[in-house]
Amino acid sequence: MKILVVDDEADVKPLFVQRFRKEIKEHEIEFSFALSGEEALVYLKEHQQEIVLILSDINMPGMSGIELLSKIRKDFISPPPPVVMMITAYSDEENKRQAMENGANDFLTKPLDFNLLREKFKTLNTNG
Amino acid sequence: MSSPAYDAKFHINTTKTKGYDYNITTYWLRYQFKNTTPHPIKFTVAEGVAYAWIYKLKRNNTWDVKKTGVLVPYSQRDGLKSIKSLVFTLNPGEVTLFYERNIFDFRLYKPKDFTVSIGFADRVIKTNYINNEEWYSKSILTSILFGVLLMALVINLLFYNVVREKTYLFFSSFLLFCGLALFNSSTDFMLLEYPLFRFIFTGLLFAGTFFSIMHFIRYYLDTKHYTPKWDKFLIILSILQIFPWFANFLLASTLSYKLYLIVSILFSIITYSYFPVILITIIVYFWINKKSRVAIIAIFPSTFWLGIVYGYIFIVTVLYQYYPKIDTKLASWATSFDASAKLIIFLWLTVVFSWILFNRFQKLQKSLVDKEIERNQLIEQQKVTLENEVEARTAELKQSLSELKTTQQQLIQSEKLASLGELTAGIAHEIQNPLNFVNNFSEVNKELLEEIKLEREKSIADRDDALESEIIADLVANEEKIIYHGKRADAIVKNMLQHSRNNTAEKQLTDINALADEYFRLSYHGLRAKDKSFNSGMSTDLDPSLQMVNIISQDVGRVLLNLFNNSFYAVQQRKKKEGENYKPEVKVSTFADSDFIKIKVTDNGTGISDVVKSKILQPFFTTKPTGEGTGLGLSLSYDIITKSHGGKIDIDSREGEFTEFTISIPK
Repeated sequence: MKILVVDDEADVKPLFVQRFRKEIKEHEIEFSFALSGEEALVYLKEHQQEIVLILSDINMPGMSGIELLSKIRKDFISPPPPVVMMITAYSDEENKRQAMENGANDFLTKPLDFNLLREKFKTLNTNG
Repeated sequence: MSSPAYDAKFHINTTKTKGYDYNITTYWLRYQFKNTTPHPIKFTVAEGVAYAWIYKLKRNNTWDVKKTGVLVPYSQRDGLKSIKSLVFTLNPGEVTLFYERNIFDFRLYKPKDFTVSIGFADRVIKTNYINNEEWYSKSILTSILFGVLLMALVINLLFYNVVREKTYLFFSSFLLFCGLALFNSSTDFMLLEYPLFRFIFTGLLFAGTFFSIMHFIRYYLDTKHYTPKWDKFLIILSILQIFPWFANFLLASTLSYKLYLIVSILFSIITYSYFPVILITIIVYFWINKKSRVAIIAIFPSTFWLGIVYGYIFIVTVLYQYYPKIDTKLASWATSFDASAKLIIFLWLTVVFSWILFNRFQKLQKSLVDKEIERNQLIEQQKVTLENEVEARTAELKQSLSELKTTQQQLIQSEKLASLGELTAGIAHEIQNPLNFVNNFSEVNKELLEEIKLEREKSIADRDDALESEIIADLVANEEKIIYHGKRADAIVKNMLQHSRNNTAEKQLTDINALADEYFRLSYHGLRAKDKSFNSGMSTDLDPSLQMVNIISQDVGRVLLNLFNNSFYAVQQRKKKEGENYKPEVKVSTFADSDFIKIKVTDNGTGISDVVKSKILQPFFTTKPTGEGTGLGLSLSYDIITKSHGGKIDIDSREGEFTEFTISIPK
């Protein structure tokens, strides 16, 4: 399963790599990283078919996560559409409502609970 | 009549009283002389009329014509010019017929009877020219007097120029008129070619003299103050006296002789009562206004002479016409003494008055000096008062100043707190991120350590050394990340504390790039936390070769925060207006020139109008709706950059397009 993580914090990459080192080692999950919404879109254009899940931060300079989400839902609709999970540090209803309205599959808050995330991946993997 | 053709033009004078009809100005006289003596006789005919021609029939039947008269210019007169007499010669036994044509100007005077004055030329010349020593002495004395009066006039005018008291002005005009009048009437030098004008001019001079002396006395005695009613009477009199001098010109030709006589008497009363009135006034004032006593003594002789003596001479002259027996000795003595008397009295008046003037001038100077001293004292006093006032005012100002300073401090503090409030959300977000990393990497490390532990529990043969090494390397890398993010959170907290602190911190070497980046993010996240819909492009162009610079970092940070906040606000406002097609963008760039490190904050927001640009650095000026901004941000920023750091803030903006703030800090 290929997952694209979009976050403006560069250290998200080592964090995910380490957190999911076992899964990566056993080739259960493969991560790609983008530092902005724009970068994610560029990446998606080339690797649309591979990416199953997109994890995106909402608060990013430039294109926000919500914008990215709506773009994905608009431009990358060829089946199966990728699962998009939104992450934010601001766990308020307004953020969540916007994310859901724009077609997010899930809404997670920082700090991320990696065990929960791992469960979600597993469910997705078995379902998908 | 020599020819009947002229009959209509001549008619016989039928006036009953042998006098003149004032409607007719031309009269003819005819008289015949016969020399019964054995000698030739030279005789004179004196003329008092305006124009007179005498025609003498010569033996060869031609006419000998001679001309003279009051209005005939001196140079055109025949015979004895100054006494206006024509001279004729009769040989022994000669009988000659004379025709005399008289043209009258009744404006000058109105004669009552016809008179022909005949004199023997030798005697006339002797009396009027040869033996007329009086004429010479009169001329000399009058000229001297005229000179003295002119000198006094100059002195008085100068004095008037200093003191500006009307007394001296009128005394000056009196001296001028009086001098000219005396000179004019006592000598034959002036205006001989313009007889008619001389009549008018003479009247003018006398009227001026009379007028001036009255007002001179009025102002000197201050009659307006002591006896206001009498003062009014004097003013009226001074104006009334002008008419008699010109009465003949105004009235004479239109009045009958009787009326003319009445008016003449009335005018004479005015003229001749003039000086007695003045005399009475100064005598009375001798007791009323004691200060003017010396002046009264100065004026008295002239007033007495002109008032009493002239009056006496006039009365005697008038009475003499009706009662020829009257004793005229005193009057004729006074008349003959007149020129010398006038010289004495006017000299007396001028000398005494000038002496008074000199005294007054001295007194005035002394009082001026006294006034100067007094003024200096006053100025000294005022200086002291002023200094006291200034001191009091300064104390008040100092008080207000310290109050203002306190208020300013409070405002600055509240502005800091306000920006802290804006920061809190951003800070929370900013702390949250490193904390997440710290937590996550710690957890990862725990897992990694447990893995190593498991690995260690295995037998040596089963152990995977490579894995262990890899895990250890990861551990170290993670620890570094933990430390990095821990420090990041620490720095943010410290900054926040510094930001809210009141006291000014010391300058320290600071990495401008890090500072700009940090506050750029803080600002963004702060606004983001407040308004979920807010978003903006952010870009940085930070010169990595920028040297560290000595600044009070939290102050400059606050300035940057302020600029970033403003920029984000501006792009947000424009986004609200223009919607989806507009791409908000805020950019921070750093660079250096030879003298300054520069931080440029650019946004493509609403821009600033020129009007706003001129006020933007003023305290309390804000374009934000009430409650959203204190209006102190930029003014404090300006103070921080210019006063604390010796730098400058430049603003470039076009309304509706962009805004660019450039902070320059000296290296």
